[in-house]
Amino acid sequence: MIKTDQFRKRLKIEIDGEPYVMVDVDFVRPGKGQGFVRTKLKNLMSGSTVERTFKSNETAKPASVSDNDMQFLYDDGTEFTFMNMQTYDQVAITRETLGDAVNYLYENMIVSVSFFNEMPIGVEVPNFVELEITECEPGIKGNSATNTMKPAIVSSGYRLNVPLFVDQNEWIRIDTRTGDYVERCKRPEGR
Amino acid sequence: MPEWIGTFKSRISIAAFFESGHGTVAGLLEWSNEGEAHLHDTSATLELAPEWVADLASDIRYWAAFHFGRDGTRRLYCRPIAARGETERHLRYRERYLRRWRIHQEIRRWFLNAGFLETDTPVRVPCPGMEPYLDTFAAGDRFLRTSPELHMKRLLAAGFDPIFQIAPCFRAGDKGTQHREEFLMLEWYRLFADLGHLVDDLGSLLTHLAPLSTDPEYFRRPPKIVRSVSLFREYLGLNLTDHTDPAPLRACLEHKGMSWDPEDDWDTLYFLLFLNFIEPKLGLDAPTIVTDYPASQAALAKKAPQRPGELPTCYRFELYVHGGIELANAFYELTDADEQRARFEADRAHRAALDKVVYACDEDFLAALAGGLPPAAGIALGVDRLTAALLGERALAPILPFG
Repeated sequence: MIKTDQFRKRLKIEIDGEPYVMVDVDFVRPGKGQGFVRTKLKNLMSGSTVERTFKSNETAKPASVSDNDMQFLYDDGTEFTFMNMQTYDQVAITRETLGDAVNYLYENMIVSVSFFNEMPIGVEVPNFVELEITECEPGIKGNSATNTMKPAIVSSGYRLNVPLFVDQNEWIRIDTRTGDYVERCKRPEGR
Repeated sequence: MPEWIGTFKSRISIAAFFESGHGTVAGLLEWSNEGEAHLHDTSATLELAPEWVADLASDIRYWAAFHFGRDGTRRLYCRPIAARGETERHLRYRERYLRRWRIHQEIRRWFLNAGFLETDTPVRVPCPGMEPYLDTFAAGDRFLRTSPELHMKRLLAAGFDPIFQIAPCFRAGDKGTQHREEFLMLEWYRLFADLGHLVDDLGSLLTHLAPLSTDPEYFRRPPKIVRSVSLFREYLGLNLTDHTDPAPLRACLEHKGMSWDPEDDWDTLYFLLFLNFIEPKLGLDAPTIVTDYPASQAALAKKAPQRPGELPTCYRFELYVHGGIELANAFYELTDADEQRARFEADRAHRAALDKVVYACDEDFLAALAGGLPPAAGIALGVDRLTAALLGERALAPILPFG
């Protein structure tokens, strides 16, 4: 168990069977009475934030959250199957748990999967991902303006806006934190 | 030590500080080795303006200060600036720290003008405060004080009146944005006075300090006074009539979607509700004084006569500012030596039950009460928190030069 004086930002604890990460921690002592620790906690499963006040003599249960590198194998539209690179165990993750990560998946991609009590709760993809354009209007050669955009679809099925000069079957780099086009790039090796 | 640099090859830009009666003045100087330093820009004579300094920061390459000799000679001392950005950062912090110490000066000035005597009392004491939840540090065969109050009341009993002290105090384990293990406490005491006198003192002191604040208007407003039971009624719809039965507090916590433990006592449940649903709303538009604390939280305050059907209370108030920042705690002092001894013994038992160090009763203090302490009122105010609040900061860190 973790005592309140060890509470820190980014500490992961378990409450009512759900994993939380501490976003904010502060000690308070009303009057000359008992001390309390006010916390803001983010639920790692739902993403929602709650406030909780602990008495300073309370303890919290550490959440057994582990991150594993896993390879994306295939999907059936609702469930996405990944393989643990060390153990070769396979696990199916729902679209809901994947969240935005679903937009950037490609076969054999390596992602980081968070497990809570051996249940997958989230998937983290690299900040930048390279994907092939599968559908868009033909590129306009010589138009190097990056401020005029047109819609496009990449191999994962994700729709985004790209500059006019980008052509079908070209590869682009996407910032997964914003979901935006970054630049054109070469086809990555082995893809 | 800065060194005297008198051999610049050409004209060079220098940042300079001047302490004038109106505050810090920063200027950009042009210096040539032929003669005097000249003010380069008329803005150099203006009050410190951070935006202006930021603009010039990249041009400023030296710190400088004038030294005025007793024979009337003037010398310029300077040192090179170590890194880019130092100018701006340095000026910002310098201004805050200067304000901090001016606030200390003005606090003293207010008390001296009001006829108070500044006292000092031991920092290492044999019997630190007995409050069950306050811990301190051992220092040799004594303890660092958590508050100077017992000694100040002994001075009061000896006839020194009115008295004040700005006292470094210590509380082990109190670390947070609003807490430090070492902090400055301002305490003052008046004989033949009640809480009303202290409310007047507070209002007058805050008004006196208002010109040093980033929000003078706020600190000039007369403090709002509100009873703790009214707050529970207003924000929680809870009518407190008793300080022993936890059931109504438990029900209220549940209603608010919060959990409680069976071993939580009445005061713990009270604070859980107070901290989460009341405190953040205190002092939003004017300094706010919360009065009539439950009798179970009397500490060293006299208990008020109980009115039938109402919550038993004590003569204690706290001052809040800026949405839940607690600045001060005041008592109409308990002067009955027997009741004081009984409360100390109860606190000792409580400390023992919590597995904490049990301090000896302060017999000298009890003897002073037994000898006869006239009616008196006293208050403790956190100077660092007040300084932060005056300068518009919620956390202590920005106004503490050494963290």
